[in-house]
Amino acid sequence: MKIKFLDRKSTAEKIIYTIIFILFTAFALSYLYIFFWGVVASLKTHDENIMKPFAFPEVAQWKNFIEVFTLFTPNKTSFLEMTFNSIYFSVVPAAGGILLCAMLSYVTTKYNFFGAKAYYYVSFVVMLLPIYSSGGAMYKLIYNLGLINNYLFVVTAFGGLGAMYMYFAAFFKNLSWSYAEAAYIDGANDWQVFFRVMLPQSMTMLGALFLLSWMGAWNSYDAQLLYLPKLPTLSVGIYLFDFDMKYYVRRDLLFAACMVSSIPTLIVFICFNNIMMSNISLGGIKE
Amino acid sequence: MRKIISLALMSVMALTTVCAAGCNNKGANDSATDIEITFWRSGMGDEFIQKIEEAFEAKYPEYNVEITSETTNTAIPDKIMNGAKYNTVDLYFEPVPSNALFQYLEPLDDVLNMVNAGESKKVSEKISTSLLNNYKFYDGKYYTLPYGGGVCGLVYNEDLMEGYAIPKTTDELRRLVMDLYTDYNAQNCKPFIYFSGGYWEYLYNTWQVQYDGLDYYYNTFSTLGQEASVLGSENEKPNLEVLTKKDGRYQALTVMETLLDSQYVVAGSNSADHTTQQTKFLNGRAVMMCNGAWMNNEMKTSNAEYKNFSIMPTPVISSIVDKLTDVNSDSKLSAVIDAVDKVVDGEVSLDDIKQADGTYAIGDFTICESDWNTIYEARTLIWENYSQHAICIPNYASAKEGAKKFAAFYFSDEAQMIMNDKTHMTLPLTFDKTENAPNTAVWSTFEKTMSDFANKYTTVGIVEGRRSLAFTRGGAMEYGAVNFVSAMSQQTGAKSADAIWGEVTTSLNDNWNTYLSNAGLK
Repeated sequence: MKIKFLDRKSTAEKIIYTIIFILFTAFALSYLYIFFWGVVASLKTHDENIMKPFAFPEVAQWKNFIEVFTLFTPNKTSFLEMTFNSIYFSVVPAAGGILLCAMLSYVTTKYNFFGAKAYYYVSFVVMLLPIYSSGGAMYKLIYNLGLINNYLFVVTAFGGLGAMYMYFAAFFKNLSWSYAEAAYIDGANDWQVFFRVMLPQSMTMLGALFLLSWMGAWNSYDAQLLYLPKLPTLSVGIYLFDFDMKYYVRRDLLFAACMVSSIPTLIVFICFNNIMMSNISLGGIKE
Repeated sequence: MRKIISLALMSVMALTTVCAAGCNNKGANDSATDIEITFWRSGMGDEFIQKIEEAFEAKYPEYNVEITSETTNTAIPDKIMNGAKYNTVDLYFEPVPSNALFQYLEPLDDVLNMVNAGESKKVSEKISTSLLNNYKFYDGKYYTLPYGGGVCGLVYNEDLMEGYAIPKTTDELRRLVMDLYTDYNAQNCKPFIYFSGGYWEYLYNTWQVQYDGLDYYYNTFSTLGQEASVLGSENEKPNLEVLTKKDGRYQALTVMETLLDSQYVVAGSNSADHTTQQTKFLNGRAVMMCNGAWMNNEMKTSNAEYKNFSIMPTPVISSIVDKLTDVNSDSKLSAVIDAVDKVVDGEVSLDDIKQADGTYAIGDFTICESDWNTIYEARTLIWENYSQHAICIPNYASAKEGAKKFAAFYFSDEAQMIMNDKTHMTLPLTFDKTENAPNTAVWSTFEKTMSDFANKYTTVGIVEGRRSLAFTRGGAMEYGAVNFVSAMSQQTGAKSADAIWGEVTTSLNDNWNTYLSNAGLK
C-alpha cells in the first residue's frame, strides 16, 4: 500500500515519518494487545490463567460471560444493579454538573454584579487545592449530611467550580453579547436567552465535556468506594471483585467482567471520538 | 437521532427522579435491635454467615441483622477507634484488630457464660480449653472469641509424595526436601511453594514452642516474665532478657535456614499472591506448601479438578534432643514419635509402652518419663490461626446486647452445623448434642484430616499479643522488625540463622524503650 502523504516528502522526512509511524503503530498495538489479552483471558479457566497466562484457551469458556451476570455480585449487588448504579452515578453528575457550570459561568461572565469576578478567581484557586488534604473533612461533611450510601450523593457533583467552569467561562467571555441583545429585542427573557440562544452555541463543547466527564465518572471508583460502598458501580464492583480474588479464585470471571464493563465506554468512544478529540484539548492546542 | 437521544436522556432523568425520591440512607441502623455486622470474607467465604444470620433472625425476630462482607480489613482498627459517632458497627467478625484496640472492645465474658436456647452447656464449656486459653488477655478477660480459621501446617500433594515417608522430625524433613529436589526438579516441580513468607509462621512458631515447651511459651515468653501480668497487674515491668534469650526462636531459625534455600522453592514465590501460589501448588508445581484448613474451601470456587492433597503433623524439631536425657539421636527421636502417633491414634495403649519402673519402652531402647512427656507434647502441638479470627464488639455499640446474643448463638449447635456444612471446616468445640457433630463422610481427605487434627491435638497460637503490655500496647514482636523469611530465601546474599538472630536481638534491644514507652511502662 502506498502512503500518499509520503509522496511529497524528502527521503530523510520519509524515513523519519516511517519510523514515527512504526513507533506510533507499536504504541497503539500495545494498547490493543492489552484488550486482546483481556478477551483471551476471559475465555480461559482460572487455572489456565495462572498456569499458562499467555496461551490461548484449550476450550473457550463462553459461559464466563454468562456467569458474570450471576456470580459477579460483590456486596450482594447484581451485575444489573451495578450497571444501573454506573449509569446513574455517571450520567446525572456529568449532566447536572456541566449544566450548572455552564449557567454559573454565563452569569458570572455576562452579568455585572457584586462578587461575579470574585467567583471566577475563587474557582481558579479551588481548582489548585489538593483534594487529598481535604479528604477527612469531606468525609465527615458527607457523613453528617447523610449522603453515605445515598443516591442523593450526586448533589456533591453540582459544585459549579473547577476546570469545567473555567472552560465555559472562557467560552462565554469570548461570545459576543450581540446575540443576546438581538434576542432581547425580539422579546426573549433571561432564561430564554440563555437556553435558546447562548447555551446552544456551546453545544459542541458541552457535548465533549459531558462525554469526558461521563467517561471519568463511569471509570471512577475511589469516591464511590469511600462514600457509596453499598451502592457499588461496575468499576467499584470490579475493584471489589479483584480484592475478592484473595479468597475467591475466579480470575477468569474478573477478566470477563472487565471486558463487559468496558463495552459502554468503547461504544461511546467509537461513536463520538471526533467530538472528544477535536473540541477539547488539555494541552492548549485546539483544532 | 436527536429525538432518540432526547428520549434516552429524559428516561434517565425520570429514573433518577424516581430513585432520588425513593432513596434513604442505608448506612446507619443505630438502634438497640438493629445489629450491624462487618464480616471478613476470607477463605471461608460468607455463605455460611448469611445462613447463620437467617437462623438467628428466625429465632430472635425482635432483632434485625445486617451483614456487610468485605475482603479488606486494613481500616478496621481506625473504624473502631473512630467511636460511636462515626462507627455504627455493633459486631465484627474480623482478623484480630490491633491488640492495642482492646480498650475499645467490650469484654465477652458474658457471652462465654451464656447458654443458648435448648442447650445445656455454657458457650465456654463448648469451646476447647486450649483454644480458649489463647484468647485470654493479660487482665484475665476475653475481648475476642474465635469464629473461623483452622489448624495449619505442611500441606502436601499426596500423588507426588507417594513412595516417600512422611517426615517426623525436621532432619527427616530436610532429607526429604533434598530427595524431592533431586527427583522432581527436572519436571519443573519444587519441594516448596509459598507466598511472601506469610504462612511459614505456622511452622517456625510451632518449632519454637516445641523446643521451649508449652509452659514456657504461655507463662514466660508470652508474658515476658511478668508472672502477675495475666492477673491484670500493669505495674510489673516486662523482662527484656526473656525477649532476647536464645530460645526456641533461634532453633526454629536454624531449621528454616536449611529449608529456605532458593533452589527448593518455586521461583517468584515471594511476589505472587497466595491464591496464585495455591493454584500452582494444586496443579503440581510444588510438593509442599505451608497452609491451613481453609485452603480447600478457598480453592473449590475455581471448579478445577485438583490432585489429592493432605496435611502432615508438624515434624518435631530435631534439636529438641538437646533437652532430652535418653534420646540423643534423630533416629531415636523418630522412633519415639512413631510410638506417640500410635498412642494418639489408639493403635497402641500407653500401658503397652510404659514400664513398671516408669520408663517407656520404644523398640529396643527405653526412655525416661520426662523425655516421653516432652516429645509427646511436642508431637501433639498444632499451630492454629483461629485466634487470628476474632469476634469482637466495640464497647460503644448501640446494639451491644443483641450483638452478644448473636455472638453466643454463633456457638450454638445449630449455627455450628451450618458452618460445618457450608465450609467443611470445624472449630475445636464440643456439641451440646453429640449427634449434631459434623458428618465428615462426604468431606475430602484434607478436610477430614484438618478436622481430626483440630480435635486430637493441642492447638497453639499467637498469644503474646494478649499476655504482655509490651506486646499488647508496646508493639513488641517476637522477631523484632526482621523479615527473615525473605532474607533467608534470597537467590544471592541469603542470610544465615546466626546473622538473622543477630539482627533480631539488635532490633529488640534498640526498640525496647519504645515498646515500654508505648505500653505506658516508662
